[in-house]
Amino acid sequence: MAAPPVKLKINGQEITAPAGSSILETARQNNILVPHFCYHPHLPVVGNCRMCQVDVEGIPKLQIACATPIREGMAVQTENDRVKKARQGVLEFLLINHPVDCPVCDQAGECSLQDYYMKHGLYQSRFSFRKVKREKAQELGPHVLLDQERCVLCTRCVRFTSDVTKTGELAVEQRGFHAQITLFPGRTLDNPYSGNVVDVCPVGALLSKDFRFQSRVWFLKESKSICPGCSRGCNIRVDSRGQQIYRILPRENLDVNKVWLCDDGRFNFAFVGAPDRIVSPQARSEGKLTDVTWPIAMVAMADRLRAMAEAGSTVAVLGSAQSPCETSWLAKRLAVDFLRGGPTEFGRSLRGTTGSDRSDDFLEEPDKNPNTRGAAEVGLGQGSDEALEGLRQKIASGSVRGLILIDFDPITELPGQAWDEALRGLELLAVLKSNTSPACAAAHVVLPLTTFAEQDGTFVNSDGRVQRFAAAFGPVHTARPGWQALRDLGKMVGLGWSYASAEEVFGALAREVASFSAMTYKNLGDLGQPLGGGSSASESTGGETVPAAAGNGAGAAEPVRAFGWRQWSWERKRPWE
Amino acid sequence: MLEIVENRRPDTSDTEASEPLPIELMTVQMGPAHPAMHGVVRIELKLDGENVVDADVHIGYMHRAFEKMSEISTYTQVLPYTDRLNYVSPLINNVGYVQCVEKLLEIEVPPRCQYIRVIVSEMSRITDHLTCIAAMSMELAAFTVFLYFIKAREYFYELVEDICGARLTTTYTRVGGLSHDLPDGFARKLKKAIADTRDVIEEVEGLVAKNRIFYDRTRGVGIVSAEQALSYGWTGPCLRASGVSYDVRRDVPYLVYPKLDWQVITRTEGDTYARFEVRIDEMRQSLKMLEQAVDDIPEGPFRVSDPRISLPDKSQVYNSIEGLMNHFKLIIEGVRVPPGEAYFAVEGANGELGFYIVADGSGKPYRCRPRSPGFALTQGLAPTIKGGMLSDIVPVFGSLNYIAGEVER
Amino acid sequence: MFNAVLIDLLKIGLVVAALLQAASILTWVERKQSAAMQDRIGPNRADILGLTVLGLFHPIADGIKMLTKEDFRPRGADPYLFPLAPVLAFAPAVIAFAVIPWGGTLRFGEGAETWFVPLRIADINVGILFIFAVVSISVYGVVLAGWASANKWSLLGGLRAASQMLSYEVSMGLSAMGIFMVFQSLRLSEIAAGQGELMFGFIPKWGIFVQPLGFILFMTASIAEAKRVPFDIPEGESEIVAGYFTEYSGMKFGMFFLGEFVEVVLASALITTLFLGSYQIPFVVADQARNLYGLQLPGAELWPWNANLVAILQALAFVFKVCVMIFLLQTIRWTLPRFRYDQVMNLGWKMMFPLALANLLITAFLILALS
Repeated sequence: MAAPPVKLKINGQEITAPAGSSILETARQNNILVPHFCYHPHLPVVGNCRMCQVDVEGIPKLQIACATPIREGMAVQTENDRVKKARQGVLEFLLINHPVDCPVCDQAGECSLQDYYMKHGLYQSRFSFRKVKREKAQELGPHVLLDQERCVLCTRCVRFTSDVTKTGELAVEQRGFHAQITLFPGRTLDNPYSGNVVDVCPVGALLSKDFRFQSRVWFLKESKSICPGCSRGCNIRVDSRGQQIYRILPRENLDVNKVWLCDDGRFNFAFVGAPDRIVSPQARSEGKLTDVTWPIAMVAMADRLRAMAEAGSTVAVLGSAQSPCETSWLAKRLAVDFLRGGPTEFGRSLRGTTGSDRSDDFLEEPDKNPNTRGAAEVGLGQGSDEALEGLRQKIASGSVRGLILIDFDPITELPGQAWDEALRGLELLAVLKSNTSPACAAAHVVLPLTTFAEQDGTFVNSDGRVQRFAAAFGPVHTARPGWQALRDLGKMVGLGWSYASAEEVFGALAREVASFSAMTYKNLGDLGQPLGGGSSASESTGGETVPAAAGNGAGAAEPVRAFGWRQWSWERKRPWE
Repeated sequence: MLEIVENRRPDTSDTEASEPLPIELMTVQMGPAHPAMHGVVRIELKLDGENVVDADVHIGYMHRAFEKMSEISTYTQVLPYTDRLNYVSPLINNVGYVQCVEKLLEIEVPPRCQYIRVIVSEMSRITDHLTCIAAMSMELAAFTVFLYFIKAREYFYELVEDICGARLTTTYTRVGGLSHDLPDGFARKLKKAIADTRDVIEEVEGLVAKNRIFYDRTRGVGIVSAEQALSYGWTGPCLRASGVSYDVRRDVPYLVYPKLDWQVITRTEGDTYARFEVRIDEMRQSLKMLEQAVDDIPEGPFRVSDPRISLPDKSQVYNSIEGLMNHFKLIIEGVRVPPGEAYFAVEGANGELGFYIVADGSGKPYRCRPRSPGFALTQGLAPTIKGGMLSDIVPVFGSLNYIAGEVER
Repeated sequence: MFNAVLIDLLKIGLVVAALLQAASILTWVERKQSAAMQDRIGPNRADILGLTVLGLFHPIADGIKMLTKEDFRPRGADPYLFPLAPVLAFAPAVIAFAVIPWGGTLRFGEGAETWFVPLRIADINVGILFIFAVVSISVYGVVLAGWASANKWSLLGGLRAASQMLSYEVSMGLSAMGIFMVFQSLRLSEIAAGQGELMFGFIPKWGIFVQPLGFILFMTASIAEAKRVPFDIPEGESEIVAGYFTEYSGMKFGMFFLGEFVEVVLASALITTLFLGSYQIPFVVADQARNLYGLQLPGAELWPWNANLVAILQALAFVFKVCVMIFLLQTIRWTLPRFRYDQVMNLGWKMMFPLALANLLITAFLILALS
């Protein structure tokens, strides 16, 4: 990288780019989109699809842009008649045996073949023979199906298994006309990152079993989110319709997950719509938990808290490493400002929302909580088993008479400690949770909270990166975000909190907690900032990478939309296309 | 809003009357559930007996967010919404909308398509005028006139049904052409409809035009001067009834209107009767235009042959991946219109019907706003009925032809 | 004596039954006739066992519908006057028929046993005044309906009705006055009998011939009294919703509805009585029945009740004339648009009132001159 930058012209436009990059890469950086199938920025270049041919001055034949390095004074044409004709030819060959499948294909609407046909094809079919039939819906592994007919043999999936996961389950067999993707004999595509091959596939050949036939892609609303599965904090995109998540896709963040996502995180959304979601606030009346409205439950809780405060009883707050920073911080504030410094602590879930304890040195972290760092940063406690045991002992001994549990159930998460008994002796046990759990049975008040998909918030990953996630849809049932429930409680007990949104809570948090200083939702951006980075931290993801905007397909031609709800863009590419 | 309640007390200074009775204006809500308001508009009236002292027109009962819905629909998907703008002459809306999109695309449709668009526009104009006069007469209790004109309208609705399978929800035009060609035997049927309609118009003129009661109810009622009409932004028959000769078809020509022989009808009185007369005569002009257009119509394609705009043949769609993808993308993604903005106006049945579209290069309009003649007409309603009698509201309202679909969009 | 009462009761029953039937059939006639005028089919769906009979079952279906509908009274409506109004609007029109002669006299028996049965319910010496008096009560029904409904449209309708009906009663009375002067009686039976005579030996002395202007004025005024188009401003459907009966539904509405048709029949019957020769058949009088139009009736000698035959024919003639009048009124109703409120007043006071006065004056002069 020490070589001086190179000056060249693409379509007459003067461009300066680092030496050694390919024409395609350089063009992409400058919003000139060269069509391609096999090229992928995070996979090795093979140059076998021939779609990215461009006309380089001085070279008689067309060159493939993905594999041709730039050099000083080069003049490249990406849109002249030769190039167009060549592309049309490549496309026509690729489509010769392509099945007439769009109406039943999950990729339809975000398919490179379709996009390129409308942009570069526009010819009438000349093929009047029978198309070759191949195997459809061939099972490759637990998550992935292969439709041989739709495959364009770009080999992205093969390269993914050989270069990223290094498991090498996939290969190309046969030659020429008979060539096809196949599993290595005796293997199945069952590596923990297998879902990514569906993402890298530019056509509808590799299909996610989970998403297959579930929804047409243009009906889905995209929202930017953070995977709650582990403390890595992979950037994800939640595709939802109504109050249902249909699929989770990785979002590009070179500092965290590049463009990959583990299967545990990818299919980690069943709990959002699970039947064990708490449907309504509950309050204990005559020994029984009954469904009540939010105001009634909140008033009951606030009254009890006030009475206990007057009586001088200690109330503790037990938060969670699953909660976003906003909730944890308000919980801490409640303990400090109203509960006269009642003890606070937070618990860490063993398996988290994914229910898996798998970890590796690629993406999956052993800590299955997305916000362990965040809970600690806002001062909720240490989160260690010893600290929690200390709290339990205080409860058991009667020095703590009340407990507010947020997103955490010590009975299931700390089986080694006798929490079950301890909780039963409390004067007040308030449980704020999204999904029901044993602690609810002992509670005096149960408040339904939202999951990550229904609220705005921030997580701090294990590297100390503050990343924000946005709600994909409104709260299901009667749930409310944790910050909202705590804000209302704070209002009722006289703390005068008037935060209107998670953003405002975060603003207040950033003013009070030093390591968050100067952060706002706005300057966190899509990719987040490291703790303590302050306002100087930019959204930059490193010099050699592609800006997120460039990968957006439509590029600079797409004007900024005035309306946030208009989520779905026609150029529905994966962010790295 | 200020509450206008006059307390007029009779002068009792020189009489013995001890307690003069206070006289208050009566506030009446005319509509939306009122037979003459078509269920879609409310006029808040202050009545002094039968006299209208103040009127406040409240619209919005049929607001369907046309503009917002357009923004989430492809250019083709907007078309069915345009049917519901002026739902009495949906084909003109269809034509106006696609003409605007085509202006953005900088394409011109084939001559046959242009003729067909003129034919369907004029047919729609006739149905619109027929309906307007029919409804106005019905509200003046001349129910027979209503049914005569509805009968005549039926001749054209049957033709529209022949053309596109629907009577109201036509969605006939497409960006770059039409959904399909005219049916067989259309010219013959159209000529018969023209002749039959001429008879009905004669008949109705005999029934009402010289009818003393009708004349008294409309002549001198709801007078709008040319200056007022212009200041309200009126266009179309109502403006021409006030003496301003403005017709988009003649003044900003489009399609093949310049090739046809016809006249712009005007009256100078500006009252309800003048508006009635203008509409009657315009129907005659439209019938004349139809006769010429149907004779002159050339053979040829009825839409452009650009795969980025027109759908491929069904045989291609079902049998080749190229045709399927082309179809799929055009349907799902829409016709991609280059970034830019355009305004295109056609002469709607009630005046200048313009579409203003901002395109951003995608398959959906970034912004799509119809300039509906009805909205401008509605703002002239209150001042026109003020000072008249309660019963006058009916013919005035009828002659302005309030079509909620286009006023409120 | 007992028999006389029985016969009177029979006649009352006959008239009321016929009237109600006529009113309900008129609802069908109105729809069917307008359909014919407007190139439509009109009602044709109600059927009994698949038989539709030109839609004649529609009045029955309508009756059942109105009787079984919810008896709704809007909040704020007067609990007593609201239900009373339709009765007041309906009953007077029926009562007025008591004095209308609808045929000659039937005779039964011989000598001292002879019964004369005049085909009218009551024959009072101020017959026409009785009708005016009774009919003006129906104004109360309309005005009360407008007031008691607690609805501004109803109120407007009631006010319009009050002013219109009061105004046109004046013209109506004045235009009928000429007839009284010609026939020198207020007794309807005498007016009816008087119209059986001939003028100049060949023109029947019908009201329409002796009082042509009076006829037009009277007919116009009676349309206005019946609140039919073009004088339907109290209902003014498109202007004031449905006027005074906006808030009425079910059979209460039905009574207004039927009342209107009874008024149409009444207006036609009155016009017939006063102007169209009542029940008289031209050139036919009871004594000459044996020799009808100069033809010897076959078996006339064997027919002892020939006078009765004439009476029955006359009753039929009366019905026929009334039907013709109804047809005429319906035709007007489906042809003309509606007046405006002030135009109705103008017409009533500035046109018809002076014309009726002039008519009266001319009649008086002519009578004076001819006597």
